[in-house]
Amino acid sequence: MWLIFRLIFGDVVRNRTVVAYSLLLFAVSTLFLGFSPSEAKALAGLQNVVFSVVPLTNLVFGVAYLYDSREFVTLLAAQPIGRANLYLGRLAALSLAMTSAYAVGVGVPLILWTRSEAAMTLFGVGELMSLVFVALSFRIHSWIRDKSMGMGAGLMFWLFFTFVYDALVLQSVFIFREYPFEKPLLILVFLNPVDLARTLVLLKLENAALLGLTGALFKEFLDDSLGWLVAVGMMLVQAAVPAFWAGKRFLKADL
Amino acid sequence: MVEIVALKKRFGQKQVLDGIDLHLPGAATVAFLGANGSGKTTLIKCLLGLVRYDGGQIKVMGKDIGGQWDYRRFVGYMPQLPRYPEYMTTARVVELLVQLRGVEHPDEELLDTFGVRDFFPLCTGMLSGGMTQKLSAALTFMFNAEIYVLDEPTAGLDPWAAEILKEKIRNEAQKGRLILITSHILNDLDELATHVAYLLNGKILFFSTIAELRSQYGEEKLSKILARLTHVANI
Repeated sequence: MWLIFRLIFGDVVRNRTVVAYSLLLFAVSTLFLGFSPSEAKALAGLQNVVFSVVPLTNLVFGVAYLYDSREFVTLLAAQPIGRANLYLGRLAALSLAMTSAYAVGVGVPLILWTRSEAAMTLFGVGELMSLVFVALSFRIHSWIRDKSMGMGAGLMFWLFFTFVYDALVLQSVFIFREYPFEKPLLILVFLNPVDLARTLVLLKLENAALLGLTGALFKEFLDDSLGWLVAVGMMLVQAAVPAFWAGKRFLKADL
Repeated sequence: MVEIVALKKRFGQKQVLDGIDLHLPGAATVAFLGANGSGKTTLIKCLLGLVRYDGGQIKVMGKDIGGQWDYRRFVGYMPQLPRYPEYMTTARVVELLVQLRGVEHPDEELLDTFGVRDFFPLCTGMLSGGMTQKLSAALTFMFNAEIYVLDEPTAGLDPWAAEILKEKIRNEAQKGRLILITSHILNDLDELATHVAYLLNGKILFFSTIAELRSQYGEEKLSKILARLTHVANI
């Protein structure tokens, strides 16, 4: 597994797309942090960009990379090594490469400029989000054989999590405006990693008032460490479930 | 060295392998022939553990390979269209694959004769198709395997490189190794093969030595023999 990890990780971190992704994040982060009038505004603007770019890149690059490395994986699967080790090595390599790219692009500027709680939340939550979408790209790959269909599915998931889901949530808030809808809303937000990540960062920015009544509820729920544990655990589960599912399929797959 | 008993594999509606029985001895070079879709690739992938078969059994050097992976240290595989990690240097890929195989004294002959070392500093993504094929051939023969599975080995190689590779294959066969080749280049098989396994609709139509076939049909060339055979069997 360690050798598989080295073979894939060494390739992914030098991949031009990954390097460009890291540089782009770095540029965006420095621009927001360097030119915004206040830290809160910088982080609010930055999270907006980052939480849209991170899922997109991880899904599209992740899916494309998995399809492009299919021949090499077939070659590796014919070597004296178990399928589970091969799968875990690839998963770990791609996950670590993408989280490293994010750490360089967003983590480093945040640490250099500010080490506030909100900034560190943005850093940590973005890393978790990277894991979720790398895992999702493995799931898509294990499920669709054709590359262009797989890339299309990746884009659909991205559109769904970043735009469509919010529209549906707003719609349901509107429909159920006569009823107390805070708790279902809390659950809905927890189910979407992008919404959850955004909420976690915005709550740390002290302008949770912008989130209205629901903001107050979230604040109450997430104010103690248990709420945070649940939120972080939720994102880890969102990464683990598709990764496990794809792995199970890979063990039995015909390559 | 390889025993295949009643091997079955179905892909959806299609029964790709329909009860294959084959006993492959050592010191042989077996050419797998058959039309597209006759099951050659699937059969070979079952042996490599790439395709999970539905029924039957494969034994490599006396051991059942079902659910096993350790036996693959005896198997060298040269895929048809290899691709290596694009952004990694050739040297690094070779180094890591040698470590993965855990071979102490890799056979580096083809690294030299093919001049693979000349492109060691290049990333594998920069290599041309022929260079990639040379790298792939060199890697296949590095790990002192007992069984070699070669999928269209000479495709994409220039004539000089193809000769070097054929010479290597002959040498390995003389050392008692079992070599399995799927190729549509019958001229190459004429020079290399000692046995022919002919597949038709997922079954072995026949498995015999080249010498038997030659005397049976009174022809020297595989292409002529196949033409006669197709005529006789009315395939």
